[in-house]
Amino acid sequence: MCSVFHSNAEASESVFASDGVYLLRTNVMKSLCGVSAAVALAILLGACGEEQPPSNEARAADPEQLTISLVEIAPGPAEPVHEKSEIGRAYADDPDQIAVGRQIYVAFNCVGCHFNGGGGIGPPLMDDQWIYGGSVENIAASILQGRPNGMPSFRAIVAGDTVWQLAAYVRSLSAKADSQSQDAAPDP
Amino acid sequence: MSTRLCRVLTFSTIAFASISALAQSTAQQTGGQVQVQIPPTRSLPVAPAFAATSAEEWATPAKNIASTRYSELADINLGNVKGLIPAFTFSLGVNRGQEAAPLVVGSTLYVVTAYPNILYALDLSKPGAPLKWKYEPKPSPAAQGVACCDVVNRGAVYSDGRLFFNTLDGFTIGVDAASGKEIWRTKMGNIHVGETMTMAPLVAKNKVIVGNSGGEMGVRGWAAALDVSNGEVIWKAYSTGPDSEVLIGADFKPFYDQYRGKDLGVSTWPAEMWKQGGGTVWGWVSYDPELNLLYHGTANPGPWNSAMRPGDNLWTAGIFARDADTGQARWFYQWSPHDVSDYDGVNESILLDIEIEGEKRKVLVHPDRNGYVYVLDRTNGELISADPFAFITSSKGVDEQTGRLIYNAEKQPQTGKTVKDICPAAPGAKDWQPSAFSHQTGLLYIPHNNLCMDFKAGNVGYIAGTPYVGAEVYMNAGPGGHRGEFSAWDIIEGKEIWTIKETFPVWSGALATAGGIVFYGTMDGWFKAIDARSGDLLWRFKTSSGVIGQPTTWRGPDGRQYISVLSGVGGWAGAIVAGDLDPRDGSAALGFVNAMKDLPEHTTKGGTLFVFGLP
Repeated sequence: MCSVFHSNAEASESVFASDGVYLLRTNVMKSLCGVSAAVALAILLGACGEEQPPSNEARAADPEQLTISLVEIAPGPAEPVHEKSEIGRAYADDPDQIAVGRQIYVAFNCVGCHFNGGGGIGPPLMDDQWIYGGSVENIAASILQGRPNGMPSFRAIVAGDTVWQLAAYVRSLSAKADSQSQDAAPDP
Repeated sequence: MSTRLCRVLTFSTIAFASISALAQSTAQQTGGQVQVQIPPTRSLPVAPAFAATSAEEWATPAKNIASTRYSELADINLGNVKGLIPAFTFSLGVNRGQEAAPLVVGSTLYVVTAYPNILYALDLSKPGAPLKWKYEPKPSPAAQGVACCDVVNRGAVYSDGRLFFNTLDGFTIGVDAASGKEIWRTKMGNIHVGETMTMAPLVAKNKVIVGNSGGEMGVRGWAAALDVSNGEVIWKAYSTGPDSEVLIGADFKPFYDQYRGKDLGVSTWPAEMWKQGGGTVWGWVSYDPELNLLYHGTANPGPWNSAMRPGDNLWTAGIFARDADTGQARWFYQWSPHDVSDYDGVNESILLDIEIEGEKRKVLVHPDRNGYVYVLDRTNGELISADPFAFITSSKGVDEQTGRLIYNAEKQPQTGKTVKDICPAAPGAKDWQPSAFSHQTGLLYIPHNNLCMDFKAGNVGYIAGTPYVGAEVYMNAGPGGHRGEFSAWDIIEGKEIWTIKETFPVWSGALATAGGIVFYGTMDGWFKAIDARSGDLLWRFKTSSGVIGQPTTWRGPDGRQYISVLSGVGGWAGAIVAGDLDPRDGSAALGFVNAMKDLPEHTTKGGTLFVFGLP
């Protein structure tokens, strides 16, 4: 039986390791019952930076440290700045990471608000309408930060590369739906 | 027999029937003795005398504390209703599901919108009913992220110069009706754990009775009473947990054995699951001032995956009778023990006095999600009757001895497997949309659904502030292919008299009037007037968006009768439009999208008050 996980501000205090990766508190692990061992391992590996293969780009690509834009317009001649995440882009094309993302999507109850992409409490994820930007970096940022009309901030329980797996899966929902009728939406 | 004798007999029979009908209707209107020798053919249900209110006004969503939704006004009647035209309209400025009841007291109309829950006051004494004031509670936008079924609000209530209503982010608010100024606000719900508020309060004995929403979020349900003058919480009664918190004590005298015992709100759950057990109180409340009892339902237990929570899961999916002053429970009855299909027990309970086999009984009449119209003795919670008003596969009946629902084992959910054709579907044979009782016909008018579902249970971990469901659901139209009905129901015989099939679930409330008419709206935007006796369509008007609101009627300052209703599709049934959901995923909106993929072809979003009158 799952034990209860309360995500209040105090309980979600995270430890900031020296290489910039958040560690999850143990009680978060307990909430992940029903998730396959592979997923649990992936999350643990994402949390414990020491056990990841060395990759400076991957570790530095914390969505919170990227400069991204939610919009496509900027005054003057310049385009809005939008740094890309190598790991995010890699995962978005990787069916194995997308599959892990699917399991996390269920385990963290994303399915409870967004269902299989059609939406409910939350908007659809399978269409081409992105309120807060549809790039994999935008999606990762929305997951971590939350958004003003109801998306909770999942920063406390989604950390490290987990967010890229989730974002990759979410992006794949619209690509899959689009491929039924037209070309997949290109990554902006 | 001879032609002359035939004519005499025919004339006598017609005279007999006419006098008899006149005797009945006169008796109902005056409530007194009728000087006719011929006895009535049958005694019809009547609303208790304490339910009488001024015919000119509509101060509480259900019209009165017995919740009849019946008006004595008859200026608009069978003879002239086909001439009904819009008198004025008002755009609410909000395009989400509009479930509220427009209130009229004196020369002002009051109405609350879906999130962001703006409370408007319109001045009926001036042409076009201009805005008198508006009060904007500014609920937290984050609340939209934890509201299961569109960001609706079922209305405000007026009492003694004040208006009371709830906001999505969990505040109960008191507003001065003359000025629109806030008098008090009390935080009752916590959106961080997924708790919201959508129900319309009831005022009883200087207390504002409210309850929470969030049964799909693992929220623990409760009902509470706040002081009308300052919003202080007088009592709060939970729907799960120990007796001390459910307010079960020495006065608790339930009719059936299964409700007797200590802390059943704990022991009928595994481990500590009652803490996320649901049983929220997001529906209707009625009040009997002679018994001093409030009647309110409790919603589904959580999670939807019932295999995770063996036990009867008290006190969910049932009805409490509570002392209005203290909240102490007097009795309880569970419509759906260990509910497996999301059959919330929060639908309206209409208080009526009826005669059964010569004996006068004080009852409540309740059309439940599980598909039965129940008649309970409201003094003690005894089951009098339960008759199906919809196609049912999930159960086989109700045991008369124990009062327990008898489940169909073949339709019990199984983890990891899809059980098909469970009827009614999760929104039930009828969801929140309230029925109306006509004093004139003695019939109950039920707006309802015709839906079945395929249901696959799965494990779910509780994460506060996120849905706690554990089921993948796909709903479909029930037998016949139509998804909704509006039915006239004989309460005493326990059977349907007539029904009107509708393409979509009839998600609006019903209104009955002494003009011989019943009103309801459809999800594709029609507002209809029906002959209460025959079920014939008398009049209809196509409003700008699907109608899911509660129609009300009142007399304007000009002395004329008006009918008002909100247009603006949404709610759980209309989520595909209100939330711009994607029809390619039938599991969206807890499976409702599968049954409503065509709704966007028939209506767009809206948010408008329509008021109709005679030319």
